[in-house]
Amino acid sequence: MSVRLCFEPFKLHLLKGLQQSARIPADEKIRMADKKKMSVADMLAAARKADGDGASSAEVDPAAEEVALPPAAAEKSAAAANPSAASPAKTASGGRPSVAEMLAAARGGGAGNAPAAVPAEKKATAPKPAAKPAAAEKVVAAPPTERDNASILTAARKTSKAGPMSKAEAAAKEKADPVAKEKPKVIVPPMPEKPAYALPKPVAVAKPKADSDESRRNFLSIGFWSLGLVSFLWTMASLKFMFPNVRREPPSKFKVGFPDAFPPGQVQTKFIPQYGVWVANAEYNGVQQIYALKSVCTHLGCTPNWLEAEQKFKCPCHGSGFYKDGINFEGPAPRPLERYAIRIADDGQVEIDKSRTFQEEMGQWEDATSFIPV
Amino acid sequence: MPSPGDTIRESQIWKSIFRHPMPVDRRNRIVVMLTNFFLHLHPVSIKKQGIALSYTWCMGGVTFFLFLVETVTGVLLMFYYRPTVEWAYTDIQMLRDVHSLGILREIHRWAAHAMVITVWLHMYRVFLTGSYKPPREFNWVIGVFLLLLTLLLSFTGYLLPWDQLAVWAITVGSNMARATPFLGHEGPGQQLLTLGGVDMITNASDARFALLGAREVGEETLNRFYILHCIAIPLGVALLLAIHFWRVRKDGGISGPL
Repeated sequence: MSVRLCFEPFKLHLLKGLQQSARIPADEKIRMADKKKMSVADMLAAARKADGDGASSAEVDPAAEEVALPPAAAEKSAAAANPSAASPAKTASGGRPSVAEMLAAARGGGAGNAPAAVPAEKKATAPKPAAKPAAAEKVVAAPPTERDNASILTAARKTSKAGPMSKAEAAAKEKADPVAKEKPKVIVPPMPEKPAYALPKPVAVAKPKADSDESRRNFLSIGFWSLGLVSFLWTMASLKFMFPNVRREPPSKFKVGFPDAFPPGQVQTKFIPQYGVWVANAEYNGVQQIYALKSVCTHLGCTPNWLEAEQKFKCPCHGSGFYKDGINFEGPAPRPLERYAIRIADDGQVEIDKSRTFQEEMGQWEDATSFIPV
Repeated sequence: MPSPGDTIRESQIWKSIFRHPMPVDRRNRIVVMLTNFFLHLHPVSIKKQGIALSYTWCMGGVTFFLFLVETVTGVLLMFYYRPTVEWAYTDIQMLRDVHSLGILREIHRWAAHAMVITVWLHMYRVFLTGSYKPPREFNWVIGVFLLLLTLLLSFTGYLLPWDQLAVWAITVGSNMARATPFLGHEGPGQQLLTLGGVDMITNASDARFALLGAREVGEETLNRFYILHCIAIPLGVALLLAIHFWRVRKDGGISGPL
């Protein structure tokens, strides 16, 4: 276990961290648990594997088989666990030591090493499920008083385990006593040839998986595209929702009365509250005309006042002043007031259209729709 | 020459938003989930039974979806609704023909009905599967408060169309608050709360008044219910929802068969 841990501290750390924040599938957890359980026997098996003995790999404990230990480290650990058993075994057979070799090593190594060697041997010939190697060791190592060779051999060969026998145990028993299990040979007549309907269909195995992958992909594709389409339509509809079918503001075109309601020299201010427009009848460039001035100061957009006594438009915000015809003459305003489109409607009334404006500095006041000649 | 997709994925803008490569292997699938605000609401992996509809009914998920529908449609409706006696009724009527997408109002209403149903079914499922048991007992309590807030959302929203049905439904509904123990002016124990012989709980200082903002359903009630419906209660729901979902994760994930 300690060998394993020192090789993969980072991976374990990462797994631990993920385990806390996320969840790890159960099979992975079990695998982690398996890795931690490495008994002395497992280490021995791993060491043997590292020595390059391919023939014995089938008998090696599955837990040990997973681990690919570098030979040096494995040998070291094996030697540390069982110094006397490891090296003589190698020299005797070049591979996995036999029972006799192990016992000889145990005998030579002294009383203290014997229990460690025997369980290792037992595990190699009859591997147990990885979860309980400790139980197997206990069966053999339990009587500490029996130290002579005969009793150790008896203990090793003893099959006193009660209950059902595992497959591995059965195989080991059969190996030990092959004659008893010899079965009489049975001569079987050949089977009749299978009809076509009973033959296995070769393509049927591979296809369903590809099909299910394909249909899943199609399903998801259709799903996400429709989701996107619906979202798009809703976004567009919501955008349209921001523009109601009916507006509740004054129309941009409106009539203000007949032309004779605007006598020469007058600035009509009564449309300011509702429409924000002055209608004046005055001279511009020596021509008498009726025009509609937009009541927005060209400086910063305040509403100027018409001062009848001073005959000028005066902005209360920053003091811009405009003559009666809308030309700026004082204050910060950079250009004249703007005009709205104006005309005589079919019924003879003056009609103002606020959707069009005319700027003097751009010569637009020459436009015929920007005034009504008187 | 790199493809346009690669150019986009290699750009600093893309990388500043998405910190990790495409989730094509297990590690990147995990980190992509963990580092995305919206995805991290879901666990990286769940038990297979966690998506068994026959067990969970997905009623909590459907309720949350309906809450989102209510939020989106509600925000859009607020653009054209004025909570005043003068305009409330006509604004709702105008949704039918003056504005496109007038169906928003119907969606808002039907989703509200559906949400009350699904939240009950969610509670019913949790009860049937015993998912209220430890360690989830506190989440059950939060769920009960969420149920209460859902019903209050329905109740306050009911007044906003300001038609006869709405006004009288709230009149009848709020009359129950008259009988609140101690705090309702017709409730038991009300006469015990006096100060120097003067009743502290009257029809102008009891629980019903706090709810309506007046002694009868009127302009103040409309404004009060509007604020409760659009801001106060949804804020409370959002907070409790966050805790509710968080506790689902912390208390062992979505419940499944044992």
